[in-house]
Amino acid sequence: MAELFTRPAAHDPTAPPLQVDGISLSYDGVTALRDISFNIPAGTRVAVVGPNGAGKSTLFKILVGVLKPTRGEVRIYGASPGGHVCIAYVPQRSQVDWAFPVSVADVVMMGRIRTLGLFRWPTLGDWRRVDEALRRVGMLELRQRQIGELSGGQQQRVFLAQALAQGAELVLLDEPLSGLDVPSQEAIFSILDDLRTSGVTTLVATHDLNLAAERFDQILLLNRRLVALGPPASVFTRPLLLEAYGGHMHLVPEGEGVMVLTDSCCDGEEADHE
Amino acid sequence: MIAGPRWTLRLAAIVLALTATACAPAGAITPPDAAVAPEARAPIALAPGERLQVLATTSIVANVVAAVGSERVDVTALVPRGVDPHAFEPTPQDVRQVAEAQVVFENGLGLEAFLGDLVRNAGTGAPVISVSAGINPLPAGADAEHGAWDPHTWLDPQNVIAWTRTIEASLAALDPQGAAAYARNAQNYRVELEALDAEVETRLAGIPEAQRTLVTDHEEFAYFARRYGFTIIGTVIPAPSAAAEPSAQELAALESAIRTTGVRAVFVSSVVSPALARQVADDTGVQLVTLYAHSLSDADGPAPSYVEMMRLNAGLIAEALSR
Amino acid sequence: MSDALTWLAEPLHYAFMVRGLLAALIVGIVCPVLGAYVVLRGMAFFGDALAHIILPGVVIAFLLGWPLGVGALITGVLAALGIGALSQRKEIKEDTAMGVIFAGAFALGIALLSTQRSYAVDLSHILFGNLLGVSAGDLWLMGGLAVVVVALVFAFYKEFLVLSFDPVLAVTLRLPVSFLRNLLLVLIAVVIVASLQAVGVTLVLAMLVTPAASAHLLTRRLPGMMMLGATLGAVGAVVGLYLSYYGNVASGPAIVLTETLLFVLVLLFGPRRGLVWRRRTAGL
Repeated sequence: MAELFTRPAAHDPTAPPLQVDGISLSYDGVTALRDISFNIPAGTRVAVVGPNGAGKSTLFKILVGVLKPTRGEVRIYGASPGGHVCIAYVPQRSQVDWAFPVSVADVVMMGRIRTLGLFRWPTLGDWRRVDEALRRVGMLELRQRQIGELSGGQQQRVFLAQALAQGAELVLLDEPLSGLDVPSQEAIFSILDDLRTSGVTTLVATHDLNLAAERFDQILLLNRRLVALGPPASVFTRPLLLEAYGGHMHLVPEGEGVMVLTDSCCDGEEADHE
Repeated sequence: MIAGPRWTLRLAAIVLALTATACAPAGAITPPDAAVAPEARAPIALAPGERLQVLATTSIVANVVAAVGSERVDVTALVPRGVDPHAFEPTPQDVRQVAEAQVVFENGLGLEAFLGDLVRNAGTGAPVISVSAGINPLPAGADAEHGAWDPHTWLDPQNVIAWTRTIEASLAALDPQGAAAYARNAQNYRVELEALDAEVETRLAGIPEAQRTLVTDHEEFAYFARRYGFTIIGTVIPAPSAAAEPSAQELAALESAIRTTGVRAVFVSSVVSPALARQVADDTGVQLVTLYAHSLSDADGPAPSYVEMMRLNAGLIAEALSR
Repeated sequence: MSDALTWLAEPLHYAFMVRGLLAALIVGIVCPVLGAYVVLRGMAFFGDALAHIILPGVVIAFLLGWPLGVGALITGVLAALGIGALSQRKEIKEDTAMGVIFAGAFALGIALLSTQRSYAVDLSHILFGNLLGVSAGDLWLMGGLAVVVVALVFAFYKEFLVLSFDPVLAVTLRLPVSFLRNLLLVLIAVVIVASLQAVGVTLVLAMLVTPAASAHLLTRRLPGMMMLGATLGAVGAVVGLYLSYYGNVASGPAIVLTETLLFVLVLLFGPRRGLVWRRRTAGL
């Protein structure tokens, strides 16, 4: 009830957008995450990779505030996540109720709900902001469509537009690229580039190690604990990959480089922990 | 052996037997001893000072039986005062009461729908006697099922006089030593009932012909109406039991009838929920009057005995319709 | 033509029919508004459970001589909040917990009522409604509750929208999720209480679910679903009541049957999603 009236926490602009300190999560004797600590500077684009069950979704849920860690602290711009409205979470497409009777514009407008406040209805100004966000992701013509009528790539872009409408400064995307063809993936990346230019920090969970290596500033290698965090070249080394992927991985020498075959794929692999 | 002429014949016989029993008239749930004439019942030997254990169904039946049996009987009523016998649901305790009784008196004519199972479950050999047995019953309303009777015989004191004869005979058969006492009590009570009958008639005489119309909550006053010259315009629930529901059209028809005939009051029995009747009364602008028709009141209430009950009803009806 | 008018007007000559019609309309309009959330969030079992859990409250009020609505309201709100709290626990499956409480509470209600010794009619009214017995006071209560419910849905429209669409999103956007979820449960309880007189404990689920389900098949936006649901609810209520009058059947069930028939018609013949439509377009 108190949440109805709390003000958003003040940003400390000198603090990093994301600061994680000793996060652990255990339940029923299972350790989902153990002692994770890292900082992410503003405007960085981070790929979060790891095998099935590594805890990527769990970590995201803790960062967003849906799950509480058993131990440790998360700081967003110096304050705990609770007060912040500047975090956006783009869920895996399989987790969304696409049959829900809302249009593209309706979903994007949801991002503005805290700006609107209680008992207020969206004004023309708010709809203009929504349209602006839709234009930035190239979905303006489809604004009246019910969300179930969209393709995979379009669905992804709607939620990105929602993050834009929300004015998010930290965006977490859970497997946004899986199941998309190359043009759709490119469209997503062009939006992510746009976000990076605006100084928005993004964390993207992905299975595609190649894409991670090519298109991301930093890689966060995760397997229940933090294996490594750094630029792709320093993270994608044989010992670190072995440490993270263990038996889930097969390294195949390929000419000058190494081809990494992993068995991590697709969605729904992590036990849903509520 | 599944299909064959002999098997088919047996099946036909079973089906015929079932249909025959299904067609038995509804008022005649046959308690074990009903077919046996009162005089032929085996007498019970009572020790000196010992009383006959009698179970009656309603408080009204109990009251009349007690008037006849007096100090030779111990009468209990199964249905508590204020409870609707039409919808009464017995509990296991009631089975015990039936089992311990030496004789059971019921009104009969289908009032006590619960009794048949109760007696069967009690496994008792005690005779079950319908006090309304000797009376020519009225059929239950126009819409009632084939063969149903109106069980509300007691609202005509003349019928209760007939009751006393049945009760007297049954008690005398069971307890021959008390036969003289029973005869005397019954005769005294009959005198009281005749006086009551005359008194009620006088009390109601003041109501003009045009106002001698009754609207009641269900079909309960037919015998009363026949005896004292009233017309029943309609009932809120068009059935002899308050456990039924009227349809919208039936309610509408009743309200129209009330308006057309200028009826002054709707009478509702004390044991049923008056909500629907009250609504009809409010909507048509007539009074709602509560009568005691299925049960006596508590001992300190206005109708603790049958005679006082009828007197009270007569007064209330006269007052309501003479305005 | 005047024949048809007489036919329509005849029941309305009677005050109890007019009251019944108004009561049915209130129920038919307000239930589908909440029903939209019930359908979209898969809460039909919860709605049914809540209706049955209210029974002991109604019976206690009845035995004490209080207005039935008061007993129902108190029990309904408590039950809604209780189930809300219970469903947060991980030890018991929500489904099982509700099933246990549903059956237990219902049995308690009937057991309490049976102490009255002749309870058949009263039980039937509570279970199946008593539309012909609606009093003016009842109408005021129903109307008042309906207004409160609709006002709150309107006030919290966008918050309920986010909560129903994606509870995780609601948390991310820092909405007061507990408060909103409990409020929604309580509103459903209030709507059930308001509908008890019309259709009773056993059939109120139909008024919550069926018109909203029909609307869901016909429209792609939530406001449309609510308004269309309310329209179908109202139409079904009126038609059902007339059906019960001229057909001499109980009114609560007649209304529910009409709503069900409407659903079947929409399912078969609805544009875009109707089965007949799909067959036709598939064959092209």
